[in-house]
Amino acid sequence: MSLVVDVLSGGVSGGTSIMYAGVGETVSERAGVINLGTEGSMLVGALGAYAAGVETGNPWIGVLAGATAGGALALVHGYLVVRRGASQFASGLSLLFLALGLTSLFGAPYVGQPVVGFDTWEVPLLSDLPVLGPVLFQHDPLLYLGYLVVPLVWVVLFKTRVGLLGRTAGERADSLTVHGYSVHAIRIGAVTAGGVLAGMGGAHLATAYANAWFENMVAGRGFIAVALVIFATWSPWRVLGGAYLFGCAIALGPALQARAFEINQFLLDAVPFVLTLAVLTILGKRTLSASPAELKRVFENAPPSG
Amino acid sequence: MTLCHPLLEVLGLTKSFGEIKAATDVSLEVWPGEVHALVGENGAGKSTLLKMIYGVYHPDAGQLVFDGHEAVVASPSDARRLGIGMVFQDLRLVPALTVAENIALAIPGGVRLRLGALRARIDEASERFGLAVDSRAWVGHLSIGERQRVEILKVLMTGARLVILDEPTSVLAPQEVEALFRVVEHLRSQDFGVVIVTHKLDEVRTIADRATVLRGGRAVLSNIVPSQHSDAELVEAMVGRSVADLQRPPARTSEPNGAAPALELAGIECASDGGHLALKAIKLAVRSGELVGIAGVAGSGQRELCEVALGLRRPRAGTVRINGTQVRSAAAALAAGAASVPEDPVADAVVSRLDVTGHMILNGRPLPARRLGIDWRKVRETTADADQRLGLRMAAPHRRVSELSGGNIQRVVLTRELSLDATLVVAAYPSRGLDIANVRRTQEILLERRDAGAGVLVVSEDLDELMGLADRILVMHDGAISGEVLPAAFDRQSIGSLMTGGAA
Repeated sequence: MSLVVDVLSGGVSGGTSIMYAGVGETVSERAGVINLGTEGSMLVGALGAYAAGVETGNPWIGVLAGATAGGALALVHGYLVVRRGASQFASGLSLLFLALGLTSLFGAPYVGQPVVGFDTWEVPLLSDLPVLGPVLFQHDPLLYLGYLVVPLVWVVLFKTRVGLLGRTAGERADSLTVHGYSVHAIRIGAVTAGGVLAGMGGAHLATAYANAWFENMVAGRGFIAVALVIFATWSPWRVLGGAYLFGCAIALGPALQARAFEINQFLLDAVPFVLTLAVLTILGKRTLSASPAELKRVFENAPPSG
Repeated sequence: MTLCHPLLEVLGLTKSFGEIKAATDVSLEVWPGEVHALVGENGAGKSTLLKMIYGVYHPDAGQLVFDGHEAVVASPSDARRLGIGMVFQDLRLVPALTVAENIALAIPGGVRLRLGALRARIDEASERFGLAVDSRAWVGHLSIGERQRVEILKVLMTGARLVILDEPTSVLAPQEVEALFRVVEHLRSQDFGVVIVTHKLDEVRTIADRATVLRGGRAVLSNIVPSQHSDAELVEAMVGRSVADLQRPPARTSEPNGAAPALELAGIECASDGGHLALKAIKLAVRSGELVGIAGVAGSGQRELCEVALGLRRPRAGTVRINGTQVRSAAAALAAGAASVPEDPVADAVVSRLDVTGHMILNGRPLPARRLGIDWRKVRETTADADQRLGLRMAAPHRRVSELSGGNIQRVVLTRELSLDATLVVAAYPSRGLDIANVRRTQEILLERRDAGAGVLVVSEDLDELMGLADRILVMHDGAISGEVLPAAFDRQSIGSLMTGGAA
């Protein structure tokens, strides 16, 4: 029983950064732009939050810095692919490696430095519930903020005019032009918003989940988030569920080791990715048919013509 | 409401693109409560004229007067502000959104969408204008005719008083055309001005109060009353010369000495790309020397039928025989003597960076070889010969297909496929994108192929074309053949009702 609670609680905690990034990527892809640099936005977000946290001693300023850094990197991606017409895949990957290099360089002084991170804050009453209490309500405030992100993004996407414009940009951009809207502005805005969320995911990783900064600390979570968006068929709610599922896969290893099960660490590290491959194998082509139409154009004609 | 001035006056609009004069001194007027048909062949300047009225292009000379006031229309938003609404041919709706969401895109409003209130307004407007739409439906689930109604409703809800319909009937089944015309009549009765672009004369006669005929960028006839002109006069105005009626010699009725049919499908079941059953128990035969027409609303399985017949798509069950040989692959179909004009030539029949000459040898037949290479001189000769024999006036041999218009690409594909010595011709929408003169010539060629002994299968949504050409019409509905109609019984109503699944 307590193993289950441990894994679930660890899943919510470890899945939060993936959830932030995945919801951000959903916003971006709904508007028609794939951002493989999500991992990079998480990295700069993590370092930004950690460094600002160390310098100011206030983790919320850290979150702000992380969000800004993640958004800035995504803004570059948006400029390259939307304004300059660059390949979405090439631009995203280049920015990821740029982020990896920059964070290793500028992050070196912060390795091993103590930070005032987010502490656990047990929600009164709710945290006393059996099972649900420890799983959902014995965490840090940035994680609780995450509970609001999915409903908020859902409302924006489906109940507001900006959301409608964003979805239209991903489905049939020329019908926006007909009504006098700027497709470029809408897409760049969506990509940037996605980067802001990914940066917050990175911030959670560095200042709440791990409470540490080290090189390449995101370790593939950004890519899991990108894959997650596809098999969540671009629904923020399914991204939420999927992110916690991956969180559980990540939490499984430490929980077993704490109980002295002898399982190869590398094998455990592979679990989330094996899970990704398994889901992709099962869903196959079906998810692609649900994708935003303009995004499908990216998948099917990967090298843009002209 | 009586007004003493027209809703829209177009006065001497002129527009050139470099050397090309797309419109020269075009004038016309539309009164409230008038349906004005704009008629002309491809490249006659219709779309240039519409784009100037709608503010997409800026005229070099001339002016627009809207509702008695001189109007400067610098952009589509200016046009909409004045009350000019445009329904594009390629309907700009977003399939993944609902009807209400699509209309919300066009109507300014606050941050919140308030779809509930909008749906109420849509229902109210749809009743007032006689346009039945379901505001909750996903646009992707609607038929083309329904989508058109949504577009018209959208344009009306944004306050248009002049509605421009760009070739609205080209994509509709006959019943849907009737429904559209009822809507247009409703608009006329409510004093809207309607401009409708078409190149079908019977539509002009059915719906239009007045018409303007364009040719070569000039208004050959302006603001005429159609009933005061004969068909021959109107066609001559459009084409610039008279076009003879199509003559259809009687078909052969039996196979020469017991040979197998040119095409025989038996018990065909086949899945579409999406995985649902696109063809159900299809059984049909096309005899040598016979032209069989396939009628049906788009998406009833015509595409899959053609692909199965040509060995391009593997059926789940059933057999395909061309001239008695069972066919399981495209290579086998070509070897058995098949030629094909596909539904979407740009996607399926051409290579955009290749020139016209190069396309003439992309026909699945052995290449004219010269040592290890291609005998280009021979290719150029046969190209010139085919162009002359068929008379579809292809673009120059060195032109790349990427530079050509849809109609020109269609002529390249038609010339290539119909100049082959094929024993089976499968032609989907052969006259798509062509103007009257080339449509007529293409139909003559198809009949020539038939008379030369080929089996010809023609898929078309244009019932007039099928009734003019075919020795038999098979009607498809929802993946099955819902009826067979012989020339004696050719009639739009009965074929139309088979197309929508009813009885003849």
